[in-house]
Amino acid sequence: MTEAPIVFVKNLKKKYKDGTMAVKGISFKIKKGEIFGFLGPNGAGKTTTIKILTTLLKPTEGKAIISGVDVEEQSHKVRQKIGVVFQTPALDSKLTAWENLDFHARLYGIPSTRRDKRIKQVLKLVGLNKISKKLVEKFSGGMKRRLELARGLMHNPEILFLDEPTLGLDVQTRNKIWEYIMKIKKDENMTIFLTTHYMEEAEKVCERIAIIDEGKILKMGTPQELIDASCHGIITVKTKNKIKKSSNILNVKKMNGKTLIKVKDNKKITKVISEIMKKYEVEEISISKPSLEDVFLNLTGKSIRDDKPQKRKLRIGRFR
Amino acid sequence: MKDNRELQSIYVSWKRVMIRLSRSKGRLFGTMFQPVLFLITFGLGFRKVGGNLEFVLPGILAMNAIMSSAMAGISVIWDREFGFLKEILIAPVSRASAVIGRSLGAITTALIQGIWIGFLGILFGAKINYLGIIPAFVFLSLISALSVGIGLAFSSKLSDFESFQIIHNLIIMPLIFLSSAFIDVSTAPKWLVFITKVNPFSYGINGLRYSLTGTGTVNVFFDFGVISLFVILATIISIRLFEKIEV
Ligand SMILES: Nc1ncnc2c1ncn2[C@@H]1O[C@H](COP(=O)(O)OP(=O)(O)OP(=O)(O)O)[C@@H](O)[C@H]1O
Ligand SMILES: [Mg+2]
Repeated sequence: MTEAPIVFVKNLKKKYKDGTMAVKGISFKIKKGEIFGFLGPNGAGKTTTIKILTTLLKPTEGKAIISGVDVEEQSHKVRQKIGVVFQTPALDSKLTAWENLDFHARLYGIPSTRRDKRIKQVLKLVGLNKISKKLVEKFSGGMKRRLELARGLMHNPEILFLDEPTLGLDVQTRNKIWEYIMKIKKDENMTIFLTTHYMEEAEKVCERIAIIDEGKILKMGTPQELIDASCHGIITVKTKNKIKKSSNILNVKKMNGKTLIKVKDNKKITKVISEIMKKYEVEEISISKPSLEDVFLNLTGKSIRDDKPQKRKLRIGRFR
Repeated sequence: MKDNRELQSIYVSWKRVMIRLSRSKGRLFGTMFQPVLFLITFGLGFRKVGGNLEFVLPGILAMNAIMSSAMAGISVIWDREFGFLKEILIAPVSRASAVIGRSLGAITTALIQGIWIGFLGILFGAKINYLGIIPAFVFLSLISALSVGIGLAFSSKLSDFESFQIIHNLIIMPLIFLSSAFIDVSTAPKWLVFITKVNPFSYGINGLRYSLTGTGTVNVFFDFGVISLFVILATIISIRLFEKIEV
């Protein structure tokens, strides 16, 4: 508990030149070895935050410290400690996969004796070792993302930043990418800071999540904590009896001949069920546990997927 | 030495320019073919109106170096568009090394092209002073370095494709045509001569011309000094601006 956090962010703000307040004073900490996620809709300020933490942008206000080094004042030192996979591609498509990695290895001072070995190692990790001599422009989207992942971790950074690592990929590829990420996390015990707007992924992968919208953190905690704090499990019962409210029940509603019971505290959901089973004549019973989706809906009053497909397409196709 | 990060950064930045050049068939072909066109129009075409190949050849060499190197500098805009600039900017090396590597790449390119153009020029019948080839390389490198610096400086500040057109048409082209590359200061009107004198490229071109043909300048050392000064200035400015880039 006393160990210093690897990322320490305090009251961070970013105002772009055109006046847009993209980040409006956020604070958070990330522990060593943790997978921490930013969950938020388009324009929430996720990428802006990552760009500040990775020294690409200067904050307008506030502090960000990575592994004891101030991001703004000692950006040079920070750069050695971090690995980044940006939301938009950052590869040279006229170079081969190998050349891209070799470029990186040299800039990050990987000694010549270890360079080729390390390149092979990371290529293998993401399953690209067979096509390392191919030009990146011939790669599929998923292959490019895997290559960026390999590059991001090749200099053994203390923390890996992944900005929407699975955006625009199909389900299989997305699962594959997560598999690699989990493997990296296990093999290299790396701290990972990722952003996403896929709820299920955040819930499955992240140990702690911050829900961010319009430049502000609305809530932070483990996925379960977030769900428990702002959502209530619902028990659906088919019964002829009239179910009465009790101390563990928040409210009772009738819908399509079924009774919907909202539980006050998710931890007591099984207790409520046994209570009902005892007291009433139950024909059918089912529970629906709330997900992060519900948390988000509750916190912001909108679905994270609102207006999504259109905007995403625009971004993916944005080659200008 | 081998593991020094700054040197490695200069090296890979240079190498990247070279690899990209070797893979771009369009640019390779253009590089081979364009000088032929220039030599025919400027060299042989102008012969009738009193121009001569010896005067025009250094001009063509310089023009080619300026254009090709400006392009190398401006390529920062491409790197920004296609995202690779982020990889360069977050690397734990000085941005100066990235700038220097890129400049060296551009200079190498300009020298290779220069050798080809010189070879063509001799083929077309230009008589050059072979003893001056080494100083000619030096002046050509300086011209190239200045042009890269200008391209880099502007493209660090401006960020879209439109700016590319602006830099090319409003800065690079005038600098070429309002220099001593194609303006003969012994016959040109006074105001035009004045303009060529405030254009730093003229000094590089005068030095180049003197090295190759032994004509046209009063003092090569003065030319060398002036162009070197501007190269240093442009390099410092472009590094400063490159350091300030945010993506
Ligand atoms: N360079 C810029 N200049 C001005 N405004 C910007 C710039 N980049 C981003 N913004 C604005 O800042 C806000 C936050 O953008 P940001 O890219 O950080 O969001 P995000 O959470 O990453 O969204 P997405 O899920 O779409 O990637 C948006 O309103 C965006 O329009
Ligand atoms: Mg983003």
